Amino acid sequence: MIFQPKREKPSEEQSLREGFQREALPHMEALYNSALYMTRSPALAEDLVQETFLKAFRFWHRYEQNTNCKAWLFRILTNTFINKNRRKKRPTMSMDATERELSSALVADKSSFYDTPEKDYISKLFPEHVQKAIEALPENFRIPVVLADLQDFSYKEIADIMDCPVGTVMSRLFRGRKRLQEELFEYAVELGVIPASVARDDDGAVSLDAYRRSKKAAAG
Amino acid sequence: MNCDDIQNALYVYLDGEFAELEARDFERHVDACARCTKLMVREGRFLEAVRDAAPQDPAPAGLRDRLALAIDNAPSPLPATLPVAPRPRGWAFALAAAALVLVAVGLSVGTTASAENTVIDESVATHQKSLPMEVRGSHRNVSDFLQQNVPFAVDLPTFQDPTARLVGARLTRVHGREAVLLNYEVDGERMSVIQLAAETSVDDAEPAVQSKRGFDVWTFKRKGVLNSFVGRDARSVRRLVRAAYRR
Ligand SMILES: [Zn+2]
Repeated sequence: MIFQPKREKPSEEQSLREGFQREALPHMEALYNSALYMTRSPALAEDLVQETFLKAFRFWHRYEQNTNCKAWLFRILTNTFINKNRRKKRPTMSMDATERELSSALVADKSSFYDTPEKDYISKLFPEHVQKAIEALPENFRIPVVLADLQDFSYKEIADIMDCPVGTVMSRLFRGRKRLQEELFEYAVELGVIPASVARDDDGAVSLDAYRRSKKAAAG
Repeated sequence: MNCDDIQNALYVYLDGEFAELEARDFERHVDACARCTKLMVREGRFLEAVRDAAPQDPAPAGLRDRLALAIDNAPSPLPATLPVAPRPRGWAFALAAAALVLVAVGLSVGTTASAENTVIDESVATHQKSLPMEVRGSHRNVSDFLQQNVPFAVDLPTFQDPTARLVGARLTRVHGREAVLLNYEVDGERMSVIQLAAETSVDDAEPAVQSKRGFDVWTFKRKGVLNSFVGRDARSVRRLVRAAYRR
């Protein structure tokens, strides 16, 4: 019979639990939102977030205080998702089917837009189209796009989260965004999101400052 | 930079990931090139529009409460307390072993020397216990098991060597920390590989060897994981360590 040491002082455990509530739980919204893009299903997203938090809690003593908690949680989320997905491929979510569905939805919308006289005044992409286009990306591209464009993680952080080199992040992000563009570009031009004057290669000079400013403002 | 460079690096620029100098190089070309200016506006607008429009759905109303409840019911996250004083037999062993090792080969693995010695001691002890594996079989099975049970990527070594076969894995503790024990069969002999996350993300550390209780113990650090290889056949262990480190 081995002597079973008294587990731990309740106060120590209490402060760990409180620390977790304070530091980890506030990232729930961001995790849920990304989980939704990864799983494409509210029920699965909720399961994934719950599993992520339970795992994070189990390893909370390994988290280094005051480091990047959000990135740490995303790393667990991403690993859990990739692993689950690898184990059971869901036949219902064939990429081809999703992509076909997406294209036809876009085609239908485009044609109605030709008939709308107010089209010049609309300058936003429709959220549901963007969501579908992101969800239709293959997993390898979808994850970096979600992490970079929806969660504003840096390349280095994404590399840590996905456990791959920064170069891989860059090339996957490049290809993922190019695919999004293939899906959404014409539609963006028609909506006036991308001015016709720059839609094609011609002549004409426009400043880059606007985008960088908006990026800075978003970061600040 | 030329137009192709701009094309290839445009996201790096737009994501603000360029160093100041490279960014200036980039801008110098774009400012002077109408084609690239258009490209950048197009790409910038598009990216911005995607970011703006992508829905950020709120989490379901009850999720926060459900999570809080699940966490309340979860077991303590504190590492299970190990007996503080080493059992007398283990202590005597450790002293004897320490006396035998005259020179500790330089293990610059980013932990203190005593922590390294603990890892080495416990690796040998773990190896000697012949613990049952929690998962057996293929590389795939083992790696699935690890990914499910360990929060970070375990750096599961793979060997081209036909004499080395992965037997299985189990969770364990080394130096009071979560660790993974992998068992391999090498030419009919058991070899243990113990991995734990290194304390800080310092650089990789080259393999170094010590002998403990008749075993060669190799340690190295790779991708933030501290590896310790324990086996009886010094030559084959060394060969596999090299292969694992260089992979
Ligand atoms: Zn150019």
